[in-house]
Amino acid sequence: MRHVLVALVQDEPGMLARMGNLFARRGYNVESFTAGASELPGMTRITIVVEGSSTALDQIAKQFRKLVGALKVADVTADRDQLAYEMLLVKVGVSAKTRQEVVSLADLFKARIVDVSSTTLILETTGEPSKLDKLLEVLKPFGIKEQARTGAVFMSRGPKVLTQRPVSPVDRKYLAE
Amino acid sequence: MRHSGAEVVWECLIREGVDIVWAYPGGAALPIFDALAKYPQIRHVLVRHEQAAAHAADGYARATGKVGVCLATSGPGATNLVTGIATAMLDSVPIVALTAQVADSVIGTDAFQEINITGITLPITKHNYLVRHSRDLVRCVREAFYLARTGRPGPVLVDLPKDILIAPCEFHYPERISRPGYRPVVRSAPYQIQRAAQTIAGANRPVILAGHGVHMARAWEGLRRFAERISAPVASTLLGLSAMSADHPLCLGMAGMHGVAWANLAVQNADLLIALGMRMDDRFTGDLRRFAPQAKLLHVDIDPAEIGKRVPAALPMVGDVRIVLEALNAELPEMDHRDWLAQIEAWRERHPLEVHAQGPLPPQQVIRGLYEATGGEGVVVSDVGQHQMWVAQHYPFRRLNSFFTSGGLGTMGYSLPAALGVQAGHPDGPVWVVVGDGSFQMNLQELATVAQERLSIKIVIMDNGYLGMVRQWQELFHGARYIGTPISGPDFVRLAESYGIPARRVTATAELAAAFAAARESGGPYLLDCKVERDENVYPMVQPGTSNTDFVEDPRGRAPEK
Repeated sequence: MRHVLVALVQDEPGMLARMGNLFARRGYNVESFTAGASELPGMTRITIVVEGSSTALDQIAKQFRKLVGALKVADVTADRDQLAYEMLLVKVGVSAKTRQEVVSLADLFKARIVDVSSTTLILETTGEPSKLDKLLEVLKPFGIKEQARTGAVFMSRGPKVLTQRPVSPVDRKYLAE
Repeated sequence: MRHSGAEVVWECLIREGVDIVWAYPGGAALPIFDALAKYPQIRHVLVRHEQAAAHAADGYARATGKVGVCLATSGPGATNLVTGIATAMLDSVPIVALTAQVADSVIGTDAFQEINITGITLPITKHNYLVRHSRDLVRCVREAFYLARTGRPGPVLVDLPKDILIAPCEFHYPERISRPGYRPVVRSAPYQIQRAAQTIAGANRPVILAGHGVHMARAWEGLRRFAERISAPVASTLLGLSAMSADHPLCLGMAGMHGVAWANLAVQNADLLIALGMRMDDRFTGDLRRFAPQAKLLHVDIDPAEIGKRVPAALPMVGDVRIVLEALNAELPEMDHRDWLAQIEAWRERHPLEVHAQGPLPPQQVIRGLYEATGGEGVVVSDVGQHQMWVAQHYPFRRLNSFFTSGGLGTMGYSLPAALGVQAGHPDGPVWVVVGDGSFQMNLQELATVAQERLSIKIVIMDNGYLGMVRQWQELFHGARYIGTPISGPDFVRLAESYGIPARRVTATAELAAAFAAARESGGPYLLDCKVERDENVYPMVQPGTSNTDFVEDPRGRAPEK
């Protein structure tokens, strides 16, 4: 099953290697891994999408929490009410004949044309990963020369925030109130 | 006040209560050794190989509960620490490893004796630091000690570039440490304690499993009171031995692969297992699917990641074993399980641990002789292999926290260097090293350290000319093809004598008492080369992939009754 882990970690050298080591050691293939500044100074927000059984991921999340410098690690896979967004840049091969067709597909997907050359177009769009998959699928016949995806980031709707989230439903029962 | 970086390191160590370090110098480490001249309150022990420095720090930490410190130079000095650091990691032992590094300006250029030691030790340390600015030096060293000893203890490495050791450095020791997110839970919630108390009250056949966490939390007293209060027997892991005096009627000894039969039968037939600071290692559980099939598990550990990792816990309790036991003892009524204890006693009578070995010097008799010579009150460091299991079986530890060995990593060569540290923690009494001829040859260079420091370390070599445990597995599982296991060695008596260490050879059981007496009475180090029977196997044994109920007993004993 596909799991999504969201974490807040201290921005310090070696942190990335420590996280990578957790997954590599257990032979997990990480589907996507994104890192960027969070709302807290000195803290990086990490989003990891990974395939694995729930027991295995539970163990990884626990090991992840043990990393010195990990402030928060949450498995948000089961959260219903959340947003997932990813950005895509895709370079599509076009000819004079097919250019207009690609432009209208871009319109349909609310993708922006950010670069034009005589033989290529670059489309940029943001959205749920499944929307990006679909766009790529319809562009495929034209010839995808290059694509870059950022990996998805997730956020709960409403006032709920990550830092206030209980450690996890599994772990809360261990903890002294 | 301004100091050099090297002086600041020693100032920090003094504030952490360090008075001894095991170390080996080298180019990049020169400034830190030079600065030591100003700090006579710190005793420096020159080992003969950096691996020994790490094991010594580890032995010291296990024996004293304080953080052990080792120090090595960059490059090969640092890589030689690796096995010792990994040993401490697997057994959750608090050590701080200080390594010198090439100057910050040349890091990453493959400079002479440069190695990325923080990268190498990333998976075998609880945490590590490469200090890149003088302003971070104090904080890193301070945090290293804090992280090593709090929560689940473990090794922390601090890599110190040479220019930072030389440069002037502001010294102000911070009272507080800020590590957001690092908050080990030491106390279980009151409702958890109540739930646990109810579960324990409802059990008919409880067994307490004592692991290394009992030692790490120094919870010996709490464990004894707990066991007595609920009248439950205590089986231990290898590292849990000596968590309760073997004299105590509730102490069963070790369970697991080479555990005693009655302890395994108790665990397998229990309806409640109360695991204290142990991690259900495969050598302890045997085949997981058939492990204690009727038992609920109440699992107490300071590391949430250990709970439910291998055996699902009906009642997970995160906390420090000592604190959790205090809370439980306050909550629990006096209980009585005399039928259950009588059943275990019957198993003990039916499957006694006897020596069936023949020949002039059975290895088990050496351990029994050591027990007699020390009255079971000795401080024993064992290496890894058959002799380790014979110590676990045939030396009932009467003294608390008196047995030290490499459990999780199973590091051959551990015992002699670890004894350097254990001895520093027990300066008044002798420390007994029980070691195979294979393990001994892995770190025998430390004889020189023992001799130079005139340490009261008594080495008992169980000399059978084989890597015995591997030979046993070859005999049982690989058609008795002894490939790579016959091992020769020097004349250990003459070797010891060449270091100025008195020694004697033992070739018969009848000589043991006199030999141990001679070793005990000599003031400093002593070595006994015990030429034991070559082909002995360790029994009982739970063969890999089988259940702990299906232990194999010595075929020379009476046939087990069904």
